[in-house]
Amino acid sequence: MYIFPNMGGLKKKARFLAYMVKGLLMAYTGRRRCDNRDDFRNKRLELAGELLERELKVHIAHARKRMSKALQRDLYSDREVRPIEGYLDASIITNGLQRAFSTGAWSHPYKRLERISGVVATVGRTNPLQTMAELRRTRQQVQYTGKVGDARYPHPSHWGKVCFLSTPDGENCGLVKNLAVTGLVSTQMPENILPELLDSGMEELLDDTSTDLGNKDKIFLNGDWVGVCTNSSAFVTDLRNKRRRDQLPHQVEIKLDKSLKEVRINSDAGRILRPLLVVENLHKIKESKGTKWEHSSFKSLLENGVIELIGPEEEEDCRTAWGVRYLLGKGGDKYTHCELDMSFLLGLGCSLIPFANHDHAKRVLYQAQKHSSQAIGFATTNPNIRVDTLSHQLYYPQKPLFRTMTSDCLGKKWFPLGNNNKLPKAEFYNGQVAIVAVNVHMGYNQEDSLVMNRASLQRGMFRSEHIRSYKSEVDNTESKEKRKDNVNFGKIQSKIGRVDSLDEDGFPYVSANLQSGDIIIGRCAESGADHSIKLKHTERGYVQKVILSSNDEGKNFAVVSLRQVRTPVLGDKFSSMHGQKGVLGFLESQENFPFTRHGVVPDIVINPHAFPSRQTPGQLLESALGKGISLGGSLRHATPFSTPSVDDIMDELHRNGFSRCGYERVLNGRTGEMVRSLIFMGPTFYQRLHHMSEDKVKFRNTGPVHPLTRQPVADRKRFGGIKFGEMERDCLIAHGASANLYERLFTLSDSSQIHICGKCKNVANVILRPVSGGRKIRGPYCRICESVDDIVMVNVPYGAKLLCQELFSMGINLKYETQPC
Amino acid sequence: MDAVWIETQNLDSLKMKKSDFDRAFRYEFDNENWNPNFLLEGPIEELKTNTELRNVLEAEVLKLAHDRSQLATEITCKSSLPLPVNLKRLIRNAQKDFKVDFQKTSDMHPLEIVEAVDRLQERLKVVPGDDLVSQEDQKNATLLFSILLRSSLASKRVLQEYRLSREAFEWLVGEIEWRFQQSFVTAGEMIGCVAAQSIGELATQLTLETFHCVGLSAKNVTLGVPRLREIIGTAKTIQTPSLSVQLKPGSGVTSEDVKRVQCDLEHTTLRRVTHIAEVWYDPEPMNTVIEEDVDFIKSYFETPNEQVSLQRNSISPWLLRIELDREMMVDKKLSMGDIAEKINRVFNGDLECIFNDENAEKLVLRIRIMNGEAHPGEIQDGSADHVFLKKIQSNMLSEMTLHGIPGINKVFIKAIDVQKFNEEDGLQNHKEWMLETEGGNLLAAMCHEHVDAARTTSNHLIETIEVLGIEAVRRSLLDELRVVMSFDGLYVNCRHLALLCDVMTYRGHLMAITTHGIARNDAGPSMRFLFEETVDALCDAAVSAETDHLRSIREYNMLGQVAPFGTGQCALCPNDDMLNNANELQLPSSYGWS
Repeated sequence: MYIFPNMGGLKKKARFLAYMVKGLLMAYTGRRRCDNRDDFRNKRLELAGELLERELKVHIAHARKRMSKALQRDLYSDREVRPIEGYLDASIITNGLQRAFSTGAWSHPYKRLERISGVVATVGRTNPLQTMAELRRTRQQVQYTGKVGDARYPHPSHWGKVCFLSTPDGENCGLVKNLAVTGLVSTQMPENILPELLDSGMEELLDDTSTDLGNKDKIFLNGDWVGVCTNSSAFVTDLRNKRRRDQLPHQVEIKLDKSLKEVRINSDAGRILRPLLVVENLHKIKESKGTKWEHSSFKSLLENGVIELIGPEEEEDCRTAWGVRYLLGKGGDKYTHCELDMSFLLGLGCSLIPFANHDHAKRVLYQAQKHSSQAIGFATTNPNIRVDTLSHQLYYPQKPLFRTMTSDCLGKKWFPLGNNNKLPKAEFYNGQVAIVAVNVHMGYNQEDSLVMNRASLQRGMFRSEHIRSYKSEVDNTESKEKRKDNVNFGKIQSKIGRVDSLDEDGFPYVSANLQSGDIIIGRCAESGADHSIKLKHTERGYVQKVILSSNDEGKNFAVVSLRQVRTPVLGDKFSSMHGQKGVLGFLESQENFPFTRHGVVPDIVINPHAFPSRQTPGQLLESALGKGISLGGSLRHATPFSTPSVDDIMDELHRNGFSRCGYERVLNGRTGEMVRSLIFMGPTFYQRLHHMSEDKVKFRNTGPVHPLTRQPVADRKRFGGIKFGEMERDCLIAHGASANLYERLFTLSDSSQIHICGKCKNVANVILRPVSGGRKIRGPYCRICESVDDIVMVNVPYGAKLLCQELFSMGINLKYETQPC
Repeated sequence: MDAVWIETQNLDSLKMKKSDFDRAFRYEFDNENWNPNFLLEGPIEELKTNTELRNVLEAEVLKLAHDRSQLATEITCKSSLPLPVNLKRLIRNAQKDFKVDFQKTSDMHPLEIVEAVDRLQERLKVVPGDDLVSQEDQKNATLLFSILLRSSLASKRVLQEYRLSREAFEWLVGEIEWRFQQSFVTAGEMIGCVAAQSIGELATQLTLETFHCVGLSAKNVTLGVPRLREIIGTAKTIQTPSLSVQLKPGSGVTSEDVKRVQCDLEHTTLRRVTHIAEVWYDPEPMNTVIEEDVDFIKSYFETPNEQVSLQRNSISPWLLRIELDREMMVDKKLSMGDIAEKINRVFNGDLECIFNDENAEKLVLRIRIMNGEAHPGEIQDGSADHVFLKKIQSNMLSEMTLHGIPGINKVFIKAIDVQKFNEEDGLQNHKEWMLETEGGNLLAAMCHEHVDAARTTSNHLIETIEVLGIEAVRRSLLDELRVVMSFDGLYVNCRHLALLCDVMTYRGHLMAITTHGIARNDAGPSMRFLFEETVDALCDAAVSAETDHLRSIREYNMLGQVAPFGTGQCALCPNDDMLNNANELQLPSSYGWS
């Protein structure tokens, strides 16, 4: 029998089939709820290992088939059978895997011929937070977008496993999810836990249909019906204790379903688990002081049963307290588990935001999803050795004044210890602490723009460097095949660009200043043809490093990286940690800013209008807290959901001699008189995002045109223009600006001339024709009347001429009436 | 008028009660103790004695009263209209600039004011020309503004309310004239483009789905973008056609009358009032198999009835028995007799119809076919009859109109506020009944005796143009567009909508702004192929060797010439005469020209 191959014994299969039918009938009659497709207990995550295994399996199967076919061919035709290695074509597997990685199209888990796309993506290296966040991202495959509205909604089973705030907005909203801070994914276990189950009181399912199972509960292991037991709660408790004592693997999930009279045990891979404190074992922490496993690691806590991993099924049976302090209260004994920390239900990006629970969710989403991955920080710790295609580096990155629980917990054992002998943290904050005043400043910071202190920028605030690498390959001169034209690195006089900065070997010297239009790598063929690489029109920089090496295929290649230092200029984008993004609007000199009695001058001035509609009091709280911290205060944590209260912050400020609400009395920098209203000032953590105006500015007067239509090209890289579309044309028409329209659409675009024969009204050509006297001249000539009299030249756009010729090719002739103007 | 210079202004004389009106505008000459503090001594004496002066001022007041009634009855009932030259602001500016003191009296004579205002009106010329058409045009163009002007600058108001001095008043008059000239639209303004952009920008703010009309009637009206598309595309069938029926002044008073008209209009078929309809085999016409009907048949045939006895032999044995729903009958105000009569009328005596008493338990209609002798072709056995009877049944149930006008499915009664003008009280709100229907048949509805044909409208454009003609549909188009826009609270100046309506109707028939409309009319081939359906239009043009006279802006752009709109309307030509007398100038050599 091929049904239920994982079960032996026909009677067992019969029982299982009956069980399935019973479930179906109960669901149909409404006595049992239908399974929810979006509940996490019915979902599994596929990690990299599984995916690779699947892909490899497919390719190996493919290679095997080829091998057997080749063998058979040889056998049938009575040829010599070679040793078996000759038949195995390893390149099928290599090429197949390579193709899967490069295109991202992976084999479908159960449909043989289909592929899932989007499995492979390049990991971003803008800053370390982006890398970490991308590595913790999950993607859900849906065939048809639109219908699956439910899949995009958050489900209660997501709590603590998947961050319910950080998800991209747009077409992937709700489908791409990020793992929560403490979420773990279960892996495959090699051990069989059946003996343990039998130990705890399970009776094995006999292969017959006669034993009465009416009052016994069924036990399922990974969906297989393996046994029954009479006292399920005792059984379950026993198993759980075993797990806490490390006798069962920690990933095993045990669920008792009283309504269906089932016990479900899951041990397969792909479940998302999260750690919770076990209330009854909490006393062990106190007892453990002095023993060898005190504070040593998470693993030891797990082994001793203080923490256990809970999956989505088992979570229903737990009564979890929100925090430790609830355990100590009156109703503390009704809880079985306790959350480690309240902020751990968010993902990595969100839990780093201070006072995130005070902000509007949309702003938290922007910060977590977008700004944190676009911020410029310290992308790598070995920039001197790496040659990335594009990398940014902030000159003076800083740690923010506040701390969150998550940022405190990120650290690895083998990092050198920092101050206070505590573990240092991996730094995921990418920005600097700036003194921010919430004030209007001469109208330059309206509509989300910022005014910055020029002196701070001159001292190096938010200065960053950008490194871009250019790569080039040459054919190997030692290869056996002689190509037509061997290209090699070298300096030749080039017509396409300036070669002043190149050395003799074709590479520029380090710290050469290259502009757009310079040759960056000189390559020439033996025949003298020029294959040099030229800088496009917006690229420039100083040469940082030149590397010459060879790759696996034996070809030589060279990499030249250029470095640009970018001080913030007007138009560069900045953001605070609360989704308040803005563009630099004005650089004000330090002396013109309002100053406090201590002489503190703001670095950034943000417009107060940014706050009412966006509802981010989190930024103001962060500012006030930061002020308190910088004066030596003791409040430091700004973890979401366990933030210090506003009163505490105000007290802290007051204790240090500042106004309770964070206001400052300032004096006008220009006139010196006291400003009558109080200004809110405080240190806030700001990030510089990698959208910079220099990368986006477009300008062109005349430039490259499209060969077919002779109109300007569209790209910025290729020195193109901006489209002046139909609606813009309508606006000019509505203004009555006729000459402007003429200029925009004709003179500056594709003006050209055609000749028209006055007699037959057709378009005349310009050809080379012989003239009396034996010479040939180039001039207009009407082929139809075969004469040159009466030919006039008119100005028309090239597009018109093109249209005329295309219609002509279709068989439609256009004739023109002309009039002298 | 350029839409840019127009502001909403209030015509306050419209809403005033008579007493307020008098107080604001009329001088109380006849009062013995009249000693106004806003006039100087001289004019007061004159007014008391000089009858000519009094006549002039009386005439002024009369004109104002006439304006008021004309405005209310003929033009509109809204008191705030978009008009150029914001008079109130100008008056305020005059008061501020010339430091008018509200305690002092003005140094002007009321006669001067009246004359100055008259002269001003003459100078506000929109349409030049002396012939009758131009003069009437001029009057129509400045009608509203003149009313506003006269009511704002009435002599008593200027003296009493505004207290303008002579200087201030003269400045004011000059300013009004200048600003009026300024609000003319520039010659060559691209009104089509501006109108299209104005309407289009608002259309982007409309909802994409239809809204249900909230209210007692729960009636569906298409609104938003789908409705706009129907209107502009002059769709032949629209989603919610409806009529808005106003009743004649006498008959719209009590709700009883209105209900009667509603029943008259609403189309009722037999199906609406039928509970059950069955075909029975009942061989004896005098007796019946059905137990319930035994009594009623017996009593019916006791009273001798001529018709029945004559044709007893040829009555079909098959019976169509219809049971009617009592509630529906009452609701539609129908009686059994009506129905029977209708059936007899429609089938011309081919059917015999018996009905039982109104007060019986069940309302039953029994119908049998009369097999006349003169049916030679028909088989005389009963089998064909019942098929025939079934056909009759379905026909009667669905097609036979008992009541009302076909096409009108449902009629709702609505109470609306109507503003009626009354000499005494000015504009007053008045409650009136009107009917709104679902489904439309304008022609038939207008013919009903209680319906006021002059005020009944349909929202279906094709119907309006068929019944009422092109001018009516232009107005209807404007109204429909306004309804769509104003439902969301948006405002478009009516000149843009008016332009759209005019463009759609000026050819004498409704032209839709779609491929069909634009392409099928006499635009040049370039316009057609640039709009939609490029290849088809080009091939058609080529096959018939069409000439394109290159009149539109697109064609100028296509061929790279300065289009003659806006600044391209005029060109500079050198004046040859002056050139002849010109002196040559030496250019300074520092320009570097050789």
